[in-house]
Amino acid sequence: MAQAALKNTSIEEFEKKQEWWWAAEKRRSSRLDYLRKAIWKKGAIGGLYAPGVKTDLEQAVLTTNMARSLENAPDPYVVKSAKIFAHVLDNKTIFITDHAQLVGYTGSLPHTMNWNPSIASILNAEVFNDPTSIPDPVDKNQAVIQDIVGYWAGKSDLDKMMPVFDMEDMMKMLSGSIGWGVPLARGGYSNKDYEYLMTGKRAFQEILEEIDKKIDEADELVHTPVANKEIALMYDKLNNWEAMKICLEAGIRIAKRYARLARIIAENFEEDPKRKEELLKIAAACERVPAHPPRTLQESFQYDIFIQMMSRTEAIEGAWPCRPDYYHGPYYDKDVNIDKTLTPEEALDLVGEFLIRAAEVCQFKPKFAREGLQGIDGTWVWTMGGVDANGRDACNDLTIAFMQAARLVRVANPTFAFRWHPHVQDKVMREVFECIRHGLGYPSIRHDPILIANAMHWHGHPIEEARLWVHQACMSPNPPTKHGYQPMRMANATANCAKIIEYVFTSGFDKIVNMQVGAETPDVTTFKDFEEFFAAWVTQMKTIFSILVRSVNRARVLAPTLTPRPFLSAISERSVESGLDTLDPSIARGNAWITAFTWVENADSLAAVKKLVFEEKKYTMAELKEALDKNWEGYEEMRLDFVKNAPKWGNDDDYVDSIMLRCLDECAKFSKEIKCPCGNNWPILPENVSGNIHYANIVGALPNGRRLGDALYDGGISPGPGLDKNGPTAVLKSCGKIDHITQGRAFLLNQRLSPTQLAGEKGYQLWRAYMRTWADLGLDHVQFNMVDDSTLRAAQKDPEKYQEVIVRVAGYSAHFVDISRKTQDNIIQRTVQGLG
Amino acid sequence: MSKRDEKRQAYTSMLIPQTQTDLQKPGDKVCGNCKNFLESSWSSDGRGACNILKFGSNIHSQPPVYILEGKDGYPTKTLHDASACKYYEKMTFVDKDGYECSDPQYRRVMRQLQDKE
Ligand code: SF4
Repeated sequence: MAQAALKNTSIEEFEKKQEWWWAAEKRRSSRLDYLRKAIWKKGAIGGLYAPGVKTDLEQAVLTTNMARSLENAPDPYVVKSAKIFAHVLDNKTIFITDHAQLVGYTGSLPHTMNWNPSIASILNAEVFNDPTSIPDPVDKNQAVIQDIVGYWAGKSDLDKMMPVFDMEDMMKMLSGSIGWGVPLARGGYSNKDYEYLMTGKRAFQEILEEIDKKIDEADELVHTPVANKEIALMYDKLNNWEAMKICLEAGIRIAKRYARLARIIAENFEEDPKRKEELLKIAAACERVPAHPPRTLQESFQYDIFIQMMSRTEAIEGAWPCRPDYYHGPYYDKDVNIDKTLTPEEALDLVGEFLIRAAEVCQFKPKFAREGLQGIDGTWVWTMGGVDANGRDACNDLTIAFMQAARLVRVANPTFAFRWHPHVQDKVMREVFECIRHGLGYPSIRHDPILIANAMHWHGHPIEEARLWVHQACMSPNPPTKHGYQPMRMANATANCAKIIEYVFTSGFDKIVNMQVGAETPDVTTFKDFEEFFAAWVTQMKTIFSILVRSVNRARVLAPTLTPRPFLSAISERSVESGLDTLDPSIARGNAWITAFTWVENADSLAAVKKLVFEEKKYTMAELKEALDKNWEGYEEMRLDFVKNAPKWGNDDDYVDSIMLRCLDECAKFSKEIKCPCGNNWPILPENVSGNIHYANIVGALPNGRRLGDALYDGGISPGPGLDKNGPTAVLKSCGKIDHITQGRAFLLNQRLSPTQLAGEKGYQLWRAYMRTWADLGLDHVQFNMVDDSTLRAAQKDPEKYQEVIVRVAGYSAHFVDISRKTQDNIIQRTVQGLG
Repeated sequence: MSKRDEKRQAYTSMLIPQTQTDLQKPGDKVCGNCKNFLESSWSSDGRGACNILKFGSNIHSQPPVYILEGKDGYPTKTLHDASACKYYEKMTFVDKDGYECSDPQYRRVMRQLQDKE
């Protein structure tokens, strides 16, 4: 928008037109405005990164050089890993953005994406192959990358793991048809032990002292005049403790470098006295944290950013599990309400900047992640609200400040997920609603009582721990506690579930990737009734889930020795106490889940087969098989019959809903049979991110009328776009038939609401009524898109003008212009529900 | 040979990561710009399989071995030399800029293949 038009239009006018982004731009402070505009958009647009965003070679070069120099060093592997980590932190380029009060970035410059080449050689080759993101001068840097790719070929975590996985499972996974992601301890979503780290009792220096004590005790033990197994194993623990210390000390040192830089700028270059003071405050904060626990809100945010930056130096992190209002809230209260060292406006600036600092974080990701998470770098789904360990309302002033700051800075990542419970105050719900009304697509709403019960049911978390849960990725709860926290959720237990029904028709042969992937169930034309057909479905489900789970289990068992995480261990109570790597299954309770992408197609397809083939006998199974084989080509009339005249999920129709429940029952039963190395269960979690688009060309024709190439349904339990014909209550009723405690770990529901209908107080009351029904029916999740079709269509035509429109894709939000056309169309197709 | 050994023999090449030499500019005819190549949707580092030739084929042996029957596809890589393969069919890239989402059949955004156009 032209500057003059922006200047001459009032905030109220913009809000009336529901152009919330312009209103936000006018409302936010000049500092937030500068910082918001100073960051680069890092999410991939479809398959590639935006122009200008470049892969950072600095960490890759530092890592490779250090690895080379340590090749013949007499250090154990875990100590070498720690030394490489420390070398990167000690030598990485650091910078402070103008006007910033918080520092720390994963890359060496704001437009870069860091790249750790020691993790996955597939990723390294992708860095080289990517036609857009190699920094200038391209020729010279291509040679550098080639050298790095060559060095790590055969040495990366993935290369070390591959030969010790089952070859056949590995090939099926590599085909990309049934699963997503890699089974690696340094590539996925790691929660943190926030109860150890963020409650003000200790930080790195205090942990170092705890470790020193442990080392002294162990040292004494190994020199006692006995020899036994405990002593034999103690040397490994000593190595782990040594590695943890190296990481923590390096963490303190890099913070001190930031402090020094801030001081140098303040004392030598800065002329503005106010900015000088801010820089000195940054210096003081970085001298304090992460060495010691924070004392102020700024230090608390700074501590959090440092921990994330370090974790992202050690691993590829696809998420940012946290609960910022809960853990930073006491500092907000102290600074704003008690000591009054910050005005609410100053605090809001800090909160907004904290969001911006998180929004800019980026690591180079492989293709499947770029496509599956279009528009964002990973799912930074921040947990808000909820209850404390005693079950009391944990919402605080910072919860509200986060909602307000989100509306001002309007970043698509992080997004919030709000833990609703019956005691949330109306003033908090209003703030939550305002974010949704402003079209952010977040917070998503989570049902706290249901999910606490769910965490106890599936993983046996004690109630006091279950109540502290945070989102480990988009959807799955995990308590950030000593034994409860999950150090790495490996993304490859992500099933492309539409393949379950597809394989029933092909006896497990995948025609897209040309290989036997599923079980060799009998020829589908031989099934005499629906029961036989359904039994084949169950077999395919078990086969696919098992392939994925087996490799994650294997990787988890091997992780402590093959791919240890000394930094993450150093900030985990259970590792500091035991001397074992934090990935060691023996010291964790377990919190595994199978993400079920493309799930709902199964219920709709099974219902269509049951009705049209077995009951009405309108078509023979042979005809249907033939039609699917031909991708419905030449069978359009028949296809439309399967679309229009078979019952569809989401319409409160017991015919298909009971099939959905039956499928979930079978999965729930199986989830308790398959176990993780901690001995715990593997429940399923239907959701999609943008996997429904990524898999569009990988899933063949299905009996719900879908053709190869058509986008799949968008949500975990969302009805197919346009197929929910009976209104929003029917959708809720269908979804409410699922037992959200015992039938799975969580269930994603996307809803589109009309922004016009939800305007004003009446709109809020309508939404509250909808939410009451949602809560009464016991759904664990719902999220909203509230941008109308005309705005989205206009944004497709004129993207430049609508750069700031945000939409809810699935478990995350993204700027509409940053997602591929196919995903955009898929969002527009979703049914807009009228309430009331 | 046990079935396990057979599988291992078939798939080992797929598990070998890209090396420095793999990233050199390839010749004009490579599997990656053949219509019959199916890139793995799991990674875009070059792994994939042939959609026509089956397991047991070898386009690099003298003479090449073409197996057309069987269940499992022939694992190959984007930059594998296909100059000797009689089933090679040059493909047209439909999504040249790569900003659209994956279509394993028609989207090859790899630097080396782009340079060939
Ligand atoms: S060149 Fe030959 S082996 Fe390679 S993909 Fe084409 S047909 Fe298959």
